[in-house]
Amino acid sequence: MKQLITILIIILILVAGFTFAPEYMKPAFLTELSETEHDDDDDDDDEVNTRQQLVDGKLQVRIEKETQQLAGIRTSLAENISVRSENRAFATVIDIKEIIDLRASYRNVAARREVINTNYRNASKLLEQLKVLHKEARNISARELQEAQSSWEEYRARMRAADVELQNIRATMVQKWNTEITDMALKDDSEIFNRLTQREEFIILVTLKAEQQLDPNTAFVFVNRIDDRMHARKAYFISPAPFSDSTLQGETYFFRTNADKIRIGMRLYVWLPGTGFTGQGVNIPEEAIVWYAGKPWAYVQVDDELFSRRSLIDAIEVSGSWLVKENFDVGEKVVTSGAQTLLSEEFKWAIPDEDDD
Amino acid sequence: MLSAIVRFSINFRGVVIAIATLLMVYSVYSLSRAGLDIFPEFSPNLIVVQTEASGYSTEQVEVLITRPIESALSGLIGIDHVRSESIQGLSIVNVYFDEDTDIYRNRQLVSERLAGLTNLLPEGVGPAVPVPMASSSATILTMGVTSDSKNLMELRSIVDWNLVPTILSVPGVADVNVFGGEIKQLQIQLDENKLHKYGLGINEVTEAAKQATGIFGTGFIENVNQRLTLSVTGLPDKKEELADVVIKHLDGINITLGDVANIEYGAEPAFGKGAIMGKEGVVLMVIGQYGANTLNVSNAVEEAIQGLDQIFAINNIQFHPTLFRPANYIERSVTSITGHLLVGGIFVVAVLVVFLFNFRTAFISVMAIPLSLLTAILILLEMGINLNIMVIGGLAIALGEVVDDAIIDTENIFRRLRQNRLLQNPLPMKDVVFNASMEVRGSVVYASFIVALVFLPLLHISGITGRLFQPLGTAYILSIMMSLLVALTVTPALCYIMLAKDELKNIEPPLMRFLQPLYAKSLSLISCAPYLIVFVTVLFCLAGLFVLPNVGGQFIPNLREGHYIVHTSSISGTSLEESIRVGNQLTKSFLEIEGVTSVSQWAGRAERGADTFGSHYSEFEVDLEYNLSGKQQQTVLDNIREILEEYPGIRFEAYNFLSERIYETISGYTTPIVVNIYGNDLNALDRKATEVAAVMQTIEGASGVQVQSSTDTPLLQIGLKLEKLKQHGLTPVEIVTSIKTAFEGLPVAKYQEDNRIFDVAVIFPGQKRETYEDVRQLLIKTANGSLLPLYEFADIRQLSGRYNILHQDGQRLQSITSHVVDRDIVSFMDELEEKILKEVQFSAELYPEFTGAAIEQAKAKEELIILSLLVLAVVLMLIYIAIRNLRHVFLMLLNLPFALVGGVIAVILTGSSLSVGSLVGFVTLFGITIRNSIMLVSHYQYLVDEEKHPWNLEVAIQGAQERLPSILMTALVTALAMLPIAIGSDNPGREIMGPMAAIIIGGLASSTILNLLIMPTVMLKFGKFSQTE
Repeated sequence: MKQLITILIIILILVAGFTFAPEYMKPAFLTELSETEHDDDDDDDDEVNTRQQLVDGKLQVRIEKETQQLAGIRTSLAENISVRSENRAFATVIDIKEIIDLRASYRNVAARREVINTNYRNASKLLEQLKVLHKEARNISARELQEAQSSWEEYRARMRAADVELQNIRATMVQKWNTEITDMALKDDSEIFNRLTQREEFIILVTLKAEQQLDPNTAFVFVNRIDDRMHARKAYFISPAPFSDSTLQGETYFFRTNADKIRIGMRLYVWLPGTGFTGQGVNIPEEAIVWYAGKPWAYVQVDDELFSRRSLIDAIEVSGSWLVKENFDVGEKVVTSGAQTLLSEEFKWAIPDEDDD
Repeated sequence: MLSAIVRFSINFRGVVIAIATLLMVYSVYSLSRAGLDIFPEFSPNLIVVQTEASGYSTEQVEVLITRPIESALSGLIGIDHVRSESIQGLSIVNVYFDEDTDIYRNRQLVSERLAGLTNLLPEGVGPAVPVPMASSSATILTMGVTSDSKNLMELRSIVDWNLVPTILSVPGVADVNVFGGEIKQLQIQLDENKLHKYGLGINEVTEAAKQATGIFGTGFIENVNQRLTLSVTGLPDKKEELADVVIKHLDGINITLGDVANIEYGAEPAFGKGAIMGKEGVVLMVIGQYGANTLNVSNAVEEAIQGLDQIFAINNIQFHPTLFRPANYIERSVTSITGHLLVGGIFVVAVLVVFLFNFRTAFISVMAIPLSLLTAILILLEMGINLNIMVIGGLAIALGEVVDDAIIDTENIFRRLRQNRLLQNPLPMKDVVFNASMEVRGSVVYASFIVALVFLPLLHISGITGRLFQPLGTAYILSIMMSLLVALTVTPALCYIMLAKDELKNIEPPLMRFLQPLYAKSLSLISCAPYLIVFVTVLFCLAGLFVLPNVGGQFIPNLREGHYIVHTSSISGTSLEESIRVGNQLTKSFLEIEGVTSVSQWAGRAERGADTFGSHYSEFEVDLEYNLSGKQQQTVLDNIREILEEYPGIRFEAYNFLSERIYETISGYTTPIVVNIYGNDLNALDRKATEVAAVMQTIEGASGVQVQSSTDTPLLQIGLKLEKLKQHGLTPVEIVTSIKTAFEGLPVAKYQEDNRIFDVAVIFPGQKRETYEDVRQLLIKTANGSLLPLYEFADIRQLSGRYNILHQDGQRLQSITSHVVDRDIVSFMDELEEKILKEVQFSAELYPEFTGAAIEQAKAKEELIILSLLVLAVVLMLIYIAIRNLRHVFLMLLNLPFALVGGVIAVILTGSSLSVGSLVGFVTLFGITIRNSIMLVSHYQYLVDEEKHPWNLEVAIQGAQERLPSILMTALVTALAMLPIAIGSDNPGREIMGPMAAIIIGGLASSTILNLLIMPTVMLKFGKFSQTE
């Protein structure tokens, strides 16, 4: 019994010694017995060293030349291009058969009026002669005179009726097609209208979006059947349109454009001069863009090893690239391959540690 | 009882030998049919539920999918805890069950709950499925295909419809994760210009496409005589036919799908991409089933795909069948370790022959090795434990010891038989063998139990360490127990058969004749200065204990698998395209490293994979030349790490595969201090986490304080303007559907191509799904038929969204982690808790939890210490029972630090570090050391008790001399059996066992010196032997 008690005392001393010894005094491998501890010979779980540095108050990324090659970072020189900002709208190619019909009616009435006018003039002369004869010699009967008088009055009434009809047709045309087109249509030698009637050109109805307005000085816009600004053709201003597109809400205008490959009823894309950016700018290719914090950015190589991230302020997207007026200069080296790698390097601390979940 | 067994074995020696022979034959037969694996199953009792939610944002996935799944699974019997992660398009719920529950029953329970969940999930999501149960090492093979002439879509079709089904048909394959290539779809690629031209909306085309084709069953008709099945043919299944399907009749003209869209075979939006040797292709990862044997399955898969090389070559496809083959490592390890065991075995025989100078005794002793080990293997196999490197390790460290019992027994019987011959009236042989056998029972039985007992705590270590090392412990204990059984039965039987009638030459073995006088002289010399000796011994021990904490440690040593896994991660939101570009650059550099044979990469994730990696994440398989040594492999790894460290914009990890698997299996934060904040409001959680992190940073000793799960991912937020929608007669869902159709694609039907089934989907062409402007300009058809761009109806802004949302037990969670430097973790934790509760305001809906690896570790350690102490108590009692003297028990304990010092010196000399394997080495060492001491002390007791000698220097020297052969032999046998493994331990197959072996050899050397040279003097001076009553 005495011996057993002694053994137990020794055990207690051992327990106490092991339990109360400070953690760092215990052998390292014993503390690693638990499953949660492991050799951390990986990367940078706790300390993240980025190549970020502050140069002239701006955060920049320094990448050595060899590393640039390793990471496949490539740049291209920023070029100068000139554009103006544009708004996109839609248009419909409209059928001018109605105006041609009205023009035909107008011309028929005008021709008829011409005939009536001739008859009226003849009747007028005849009436004057008969009046003289009747007054001077009573060579003709009063009945004959009355007949000539009524004939003259009839022609006069018919002429007035034709005039009213002509006015009505014109008013109808103006109502729907506006004065410019009506005048063009009614003008005998309108070259434009001739091209329209010969289907060399079409009138298109351009509908602006609710918030859009057409610059009063707009002489032409660009249109295309497909959403391709580069190959769009010009359409020339005619006049504001008195009616709207059945499917779109907004101000409407008539433009005319070349009829090549365009058919009546087609819907077209329209590019109108915008109110924003106009003039020259720097072209930033799409592959240089990285989105961060709600804005598009691009990296510029500022010296052999330094890269700076710059915001694309008021940039506009023009078919596959972005155009900026500020923050970038022509001839600067814009990173076109590896921009995301640079962003990752700059925000290396934010890279998720997949094994700590 | 022991005497009855020994007597029975001598009397029925033929039966005993026959049983032993039968057991050996059967064991060899069983062994030949057993499979080999790398590690035991070490994965936790875990069911992973995965739900695909294509197109859903992180927040939507969390609320609509993860939460219902967590609710459905809550309350299942045996659940330990539930963790989940919701990311864009995917929900992963990890259900951890108690370790002692049946994994198949757990899976059944989970499946039953999930079955009732289908209706609760949003349309088009899921289903929620438990992912196939994979083996711990998971990957069986990684292979890949590339081609110069076939495109990625063709490659993927060949993989999905030819290669994968072939591999899946192999028993033991759980799944094949396919990365890269392009999944074929018959796509109705909308042309916005044409839609505009005809004034058609996306929805109208989608509806028409839904009516265009499909695969349907149409039933049957039946009359009194027959049943006739109805089958409709002619449904369009070619792109030309599909193009002719009418969408709308407009002004007398039919507008067809072909009028408004290009009908093309296109690629489904991808989750992942793959590249092999820097060339885009398809990478396949063959996943082994839970419990499947890597080597067997690997061979079966290779057999199944045999011959495909030629077919691929004919089709101009480059097949890479072994981008990674874990079985290579098993084969190399097994070849290496069996070779070393064989060499070790030869050493053992040589030692026995030299020491005993008698082939018969050597043969009897050696027979204990195969008998004990094979019987242990047989029992292990019957217990359902697969053979693996850890089991082999257990057998390897037992190799030197299983022979010990037999040596002690045989040596004693041999000696007593010889002495008996010299007697005037020799005793009957049976009695001599019996008595000699019983004489050493103390050393044999108690010592064996002690050796086995010290291993018991190893069987009770929890977690992954336990799962890894339990088979090793089991194999070791079983071998020791079997060797005890052999020593009690077969050894006496064999001794009687082979030695009793032999002419035993009464000559001492030459080595002993040479050693014993020298030994006696040394002992006399040493005994002159007992206090000096004790002082030197204590000094030596203290020096060793002082050095010990400074030896570096690691969980498991570097395994030399001839293969490395590299993970890279960029900022979230990085595209697959960019990940592959980065990968190609890295691949190019890796391939320039000498010794690297192939590099393959996958980025993102596979369709059914259990991982939640985004497109910013990549994994590389770097395969090395077959015969690279450990050092060369380390050089390759160093080079790889150098390149990765140099590469900008990535975080990385580079491991060997098995370490990677083990670390991947370890769950929970790996940092010692973790504060979890639970709550419902994600933004409030973020704010609170920042506050806690700020407080944490002010505490002395805090290092690397991090807020977890705070990573953002870029997103384009489309905020609908409801007023505008009302104005144009649109519903919100119409807009959402149009966006989804345009950019995500909407599958509308299936079509069949031979036996392959593909989706028919309406989508925008690839080049129209790239930019911010593409989204802004998406045309939406209003109620009055006009087409207006999306920005008319919505505010479109680029924002940062949450990359992931984590849950623990169904609650939203934000964690702050920290390391502790130069400070005691417990006091740090106390101060942290006090400060945070004082300085940070928490509400009922927002509360903290203080945890971390340190807490978990402390719990695990406490359990281990209690168990170790219990075992220590039992061991002390056993020693006491064996030698019956408390004073001697304590004197023997002097051995332990002395052995420890030898082990530490060995670690330092071999340049390795301490690992869990080293602990096993020390445990083994203590067992052997105590046994050797028992052998000596119990013999002294025998001399005093039985042979009536007085306790003095002569008796001390005589006893030591008589025990010299046994002690020296057992120590040498154990050490030499380990020697080949210890040499070059940084090579395949020896990484875990090597350090153990070195420690055992070192410790044995020091403890044997102590036992032979110092212990007799200590016993003489401080011991007290008197004749027991």
